[in-house]
Amino acid sequence: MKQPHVLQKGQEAFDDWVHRFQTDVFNVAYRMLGDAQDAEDAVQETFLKAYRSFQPYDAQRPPGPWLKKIAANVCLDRLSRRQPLPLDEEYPFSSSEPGPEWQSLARERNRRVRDALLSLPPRYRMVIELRHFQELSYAEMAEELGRPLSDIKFDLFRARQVLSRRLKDVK
Amino acid sequence: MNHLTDTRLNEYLDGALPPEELLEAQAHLEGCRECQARMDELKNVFTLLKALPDEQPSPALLPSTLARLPGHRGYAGWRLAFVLQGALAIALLLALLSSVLSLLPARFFDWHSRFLQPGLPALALPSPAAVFSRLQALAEALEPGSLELAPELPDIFTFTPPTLPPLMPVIELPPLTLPSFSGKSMLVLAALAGAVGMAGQFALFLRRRELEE
Repeated sequence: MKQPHVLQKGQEAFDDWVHRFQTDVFNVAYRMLGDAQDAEDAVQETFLKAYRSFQPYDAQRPPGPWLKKIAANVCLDRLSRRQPLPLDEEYPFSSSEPGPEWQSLARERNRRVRDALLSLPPRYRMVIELRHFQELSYAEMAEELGRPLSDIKFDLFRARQVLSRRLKDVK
Repeated sequence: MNHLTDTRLNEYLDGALPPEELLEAQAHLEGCRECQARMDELKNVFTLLKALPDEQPSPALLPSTLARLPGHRGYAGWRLAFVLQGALAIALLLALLSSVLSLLPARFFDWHSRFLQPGLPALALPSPAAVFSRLQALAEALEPGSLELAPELPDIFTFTPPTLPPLMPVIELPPLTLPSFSGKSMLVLAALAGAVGMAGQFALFLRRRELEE
């Protein structure tokens, strides 16, 4: 049986994780879901899931990548519960006209990139998230998603192709 | 000249090509403007994704996330609120039930005595030997072959079997009495439900204020 002070330390360590990584986790969710409120709900779900599998000795290992992977999976689950679309059909892409709230060029560019990401089907969004933002290798992505390496590569390259077309005029 | 396939171009940019293929791809890219242009388009995607800045979540996210964690001090507040809200629901249900019962006529509660007629055995099963001897007595009491020879079967509603001694002492049960639910008791229950609900809401309010601080 674990000693109370060990559990207490684990609790404190986990609270520290929430403080340190909530912004990172939020940004994973925000990139994948595109809505701040949904993203915050996903953050809470992520930390709850992480907490359930948390052990005090986990404080020794780097938690950031682990938490971000959980967050990506939480978001993928949420996206799959939404209205499903065929994989080859792209999500509606918003107009490239700048909105009044986007004053600077940098903001406009970031909005275009986020819109392009959200135009991808969930599977493509997931591989872009894992490769470009979490910097997982092909093999790590295949293991994380439980899919063949060839599928992962196909999705990643196809997602980049779509993004490249969408963002051709954005520099 | 064979151009680089999309797969090789992507693997090149990801640094996933084996050394010998990497040199080959580099050599090709130096001399092929078409593949260079395709690579530049892909590189643009890499650059734009890398430049995407992080956004800040709302300040309320941290306390609300911590409050939802089991074992955290905020969690006790949520659990208490959950229990209180459950108690409120039960109290409301009781109040509703009491109001329905108070509207029913008193004779509705006489079902107990209506089903347990005096003179019949109740609440205990007779032994197999007793059942056998009772059937035997019943058969003797009936005229032999009367059921078979009768031109019409006896009306089961008016047919009265011969009176037989009871197998066992009749257990006389007192008539069932339910507490009468008056309008006053209903009001008391409703007030109780309201008090529990308000206490729950107040606990939630205090907890939320504490977390926001």
